[in-house]
Amino acid sequence: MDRRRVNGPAGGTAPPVYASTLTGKTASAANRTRQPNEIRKIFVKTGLTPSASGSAYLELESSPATHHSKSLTNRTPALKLTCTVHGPRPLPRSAPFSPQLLLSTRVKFAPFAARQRRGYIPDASEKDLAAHLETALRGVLIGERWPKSGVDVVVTVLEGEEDCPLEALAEGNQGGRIGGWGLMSILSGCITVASAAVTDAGIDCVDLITGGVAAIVRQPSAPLQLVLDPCPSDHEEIVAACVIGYLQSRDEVTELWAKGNISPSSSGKETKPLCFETLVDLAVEAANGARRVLVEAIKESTEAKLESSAVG
Amino acid sequence: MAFDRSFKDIKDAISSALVDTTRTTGQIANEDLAFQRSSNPSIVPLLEQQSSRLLHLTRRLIRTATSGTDITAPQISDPESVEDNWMGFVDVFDNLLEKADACLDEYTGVVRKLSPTQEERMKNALPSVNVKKRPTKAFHGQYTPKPQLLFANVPTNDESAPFKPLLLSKPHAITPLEECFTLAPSDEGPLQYKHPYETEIKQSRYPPATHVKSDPIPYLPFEETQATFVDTPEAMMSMLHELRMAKEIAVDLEHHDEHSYIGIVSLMQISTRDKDWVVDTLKPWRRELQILNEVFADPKILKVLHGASMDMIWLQRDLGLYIVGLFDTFHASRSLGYPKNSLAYLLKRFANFDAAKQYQMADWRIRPLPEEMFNYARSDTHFLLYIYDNLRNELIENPNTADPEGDLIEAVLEHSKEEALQRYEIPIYDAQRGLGASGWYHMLSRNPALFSREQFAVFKAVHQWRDDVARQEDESVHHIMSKNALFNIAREMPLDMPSLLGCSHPMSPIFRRRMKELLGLVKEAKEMGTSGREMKDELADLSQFVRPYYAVRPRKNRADQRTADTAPAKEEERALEGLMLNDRLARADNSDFWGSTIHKPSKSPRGPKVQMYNGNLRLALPLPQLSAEIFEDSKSTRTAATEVPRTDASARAEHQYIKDRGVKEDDVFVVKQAGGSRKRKAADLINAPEPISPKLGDGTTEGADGDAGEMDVQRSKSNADDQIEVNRQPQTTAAQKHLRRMEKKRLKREKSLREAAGVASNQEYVASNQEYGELEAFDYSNAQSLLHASRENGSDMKGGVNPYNKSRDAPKGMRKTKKDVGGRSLTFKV
Repeated sequence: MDRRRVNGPAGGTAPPVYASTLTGKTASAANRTRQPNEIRKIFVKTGLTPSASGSAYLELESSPATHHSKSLTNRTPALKLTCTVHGPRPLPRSAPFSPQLLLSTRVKFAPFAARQRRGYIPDASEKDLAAHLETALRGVLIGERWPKSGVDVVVTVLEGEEDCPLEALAEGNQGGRIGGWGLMSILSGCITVASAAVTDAGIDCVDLITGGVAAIVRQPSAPLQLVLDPCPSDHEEIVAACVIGYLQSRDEVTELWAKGNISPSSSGKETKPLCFETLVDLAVEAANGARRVLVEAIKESTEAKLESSAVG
Repeated sequence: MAFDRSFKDIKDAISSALVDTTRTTGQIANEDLAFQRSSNPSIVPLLEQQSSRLLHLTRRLIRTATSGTDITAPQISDPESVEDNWMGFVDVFDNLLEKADACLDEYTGVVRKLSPTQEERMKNALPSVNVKKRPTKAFHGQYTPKPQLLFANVPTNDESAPFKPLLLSKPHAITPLEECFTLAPSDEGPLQYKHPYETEIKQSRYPPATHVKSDPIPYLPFEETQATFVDTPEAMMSMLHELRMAKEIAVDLEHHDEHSYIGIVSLMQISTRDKDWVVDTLKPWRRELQILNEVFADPKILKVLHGASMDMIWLQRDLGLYIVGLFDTFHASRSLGYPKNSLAYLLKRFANFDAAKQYQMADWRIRPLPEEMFNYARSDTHFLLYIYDNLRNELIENPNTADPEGDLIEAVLEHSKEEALQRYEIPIYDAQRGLGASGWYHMLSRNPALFSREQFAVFKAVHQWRDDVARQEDESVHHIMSKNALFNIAREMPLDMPSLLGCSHPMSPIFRRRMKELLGLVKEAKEMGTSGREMKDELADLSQFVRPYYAVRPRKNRADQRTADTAPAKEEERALEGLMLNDRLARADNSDFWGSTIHKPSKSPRGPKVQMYNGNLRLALPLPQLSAEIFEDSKSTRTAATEVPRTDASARAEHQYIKDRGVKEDDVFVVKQAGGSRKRKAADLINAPEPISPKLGDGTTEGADGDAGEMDVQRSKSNADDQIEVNRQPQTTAAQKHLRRMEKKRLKREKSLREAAGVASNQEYVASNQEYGELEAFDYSNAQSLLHASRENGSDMKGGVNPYNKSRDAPKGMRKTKKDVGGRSLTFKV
């Protein structure tokens, strides 16, 4: 029990979902309006937190179909992440000597990030995301340049995705909990936003790392399909997914996480090989897409920075 | 038993002697000798004699006891000296007792044995073949005389003509010998002679036995067979006679390239099913061995080698031998997917034989050949035919996974043919572009270090020098100077002997002899380098000739790269292509969360922060003491466009506060006076140093403004002194005015001059800026991958340096972060 903060009520405080809102609007599953090879639009902005040495904000657009809906409950959640980087700063005198930059990552869900409220004490999924993020970033930062110092990367999930579509929620399913598939998109977003924030902090990296997700999904009355950047609420069922942390110009993968039911390599009969290799390749494609956005955003903010420093 | 009895005898003898001696001593001590001596003069000489004898004995005993220890024997000259040096005797006894104690401990087993036992000594005396033992220094033969000097054709290492095959006759020929000596254009570079057996190898058919599965023929036991050492032409002929009869033979080479520029084949091992030969290829008549082509070029006799890629080149280079009908067990082992592909592994797997691979790198030029090395050489081929049988059977059994139609054994044979078709080319040093295996490009492109212009020039020069010296001395380049030393020299660019010695370790005698020569070279290259080319430009230019190993694979074109694949794979690609990301930039321009609050990129919250920072900077940096010199200096950097300052330098230099500090006479300091009056006095106003708010040009104006407050304090402080100064002031003002006028004139003149030379000075400015940018740029494309980073960095940190020294004054660090450990996991669960 966290006694230092004002906690919300212990139970879930999700707004009620009325059957009428569901019946009127076809908030059905499988309403992905994007092409399979199309990733969601990404909004990235760096340097929004003045107190941090580097910061970034990333947002993935929510499904356009739900934009028309007036109901708040009916909204498909988008992904909203903010990341702050503190450091590099000297390690405490008591810490043992480190010839390299010590990286510590934290991923925190805001209490309101999902339909079910989150507590302050980090839970397993947050720890896991932080561990994954750390492996992804450690392969990018040139740590030897900051001996005896550490850097904190903190990602706050302002809004995360939910696993199951609203219909399932209405049916009294144990929904609203982020787990499984939603985490993969969040991790990919974490990697991208952390990369932007690290760049904003001016910490030297070998390359710009971006995250990407690809999945094999089952559409209603259709064979299994490969899609880039899946939104869990868009699909009836996700069979397998893979998230990747990818350095494009070096062609290196620093983080790879795949789960689901997939064969390691193609059997050669299907037209679209639904195998692990393809999945990884597509995740790389998604990461490349994110990278292009990230590069644009960083260019823009760097120009702005230069401009303001010239004025000042 | 005998030992025990003798010990008992010794013990008895010693103890009885001791008992006797002790008893006698006691008896003598009981007699009043001093009384006897004085009362009976006749006994005196007897006593004297006995005491000198005892002293002599004691002296001898002590000497024996102290010999071999670090205790000095006490001096014994007369009976009194025994009393005097008693402490010395105590030391000797202590030592003896300690020794006895240690021996007893060892005997009872309290301590481990200090001396080697009988068995251990036996073991050390007789090293067996299979006991792993590091080759002694002798096998590395530092000073073995060069056998190549006795060859019929002594290598000169300066040929530039293409390598002409050594063939004198061509057994099993399809195309006649004469046709082989035609020059043909090679893939790159100048004309080269063709491979003389090219047609034969390409058209050759392997004996049908290679495609048929049959039981492996066991090898003869290694210990019971002996190899024949072939070191005469006669022995060679008899070997050839037997080889002709064989269906398949195994061949291996031992090569030496440490003390030879191009390298020499030192030994050739040949085995048939029932005999082994070890051929000495260091004889002056070594080229006569090409008579073996009768067997080696015979497609009906299978030649089994392991990892023959270099062997093919060495054979044709040194002996003029070519192999038609090669079976490389390395390729076989690789296509079967064994965990290791080394010969040692195959020997272990099939023959359960531990090869003494430590001899692999031994100096094979030693003659006569030591027994161990001879045995090792023989073991290389002795089991190879048996291994071949096993591999062949396995190859026939296993289907080819890569190509369903293809035969696994066929693929291995195809690889072997390709290997046999390799051609030796004389290494020509390419100083200009540094291409080729011995060129500098190869070395640099694999190294992440980015050299400056000078360093790059020095590297190229030293690299070429190393190659030249190696050719002249007929030594390998690595023997002349290690790769590490080469890089060190290029990095440090030593100009004197001590620094050169410091960065070139280990050092060969040849290098030591020629160090002066190298110093001159480094100096020259360094000078040349200042106007030379940048390393990264040069490497970028050269990369079109060579495909660098780190080539970044463009991910987009992967689909095109795989076009050579089979039809189903192509279909796969087409299906995937639809999923490849389209070119649309997936960027959202506005955010749900921020709405319209962040729209214009220029109004980022960063802006004010940066400005604030600049302001702080101004206050934080202490301005230097203003004096005439500073204004002199600033002139040289000011461009023509800047406004000419109206400051009077001389007046500035004579600011009251600064001047007063020098003239202050009394140490009495009145606080009220120092504080000064709030109102300025008239005299103060007249003499108010106007230059206090000067326009020093854009750069320093703000700085002065920022300091204005501080200046005011100073001014009021000196008010009291000002009043004293009033009388002197009017006299100085006239002089000041004059000076001011002069200064203005000078500045104007300079301005016009500068305007004339405007362009030139601008360029200079740019150049000086570039010099600042000379800091080594981080080469991202060549940077070591962090994923596969080596762990060497940490090891530098040892030594007596306190790593915290620098951070002693640093601000308080971040707090220690507690790492989350363990717990329930979601993502790692499945």
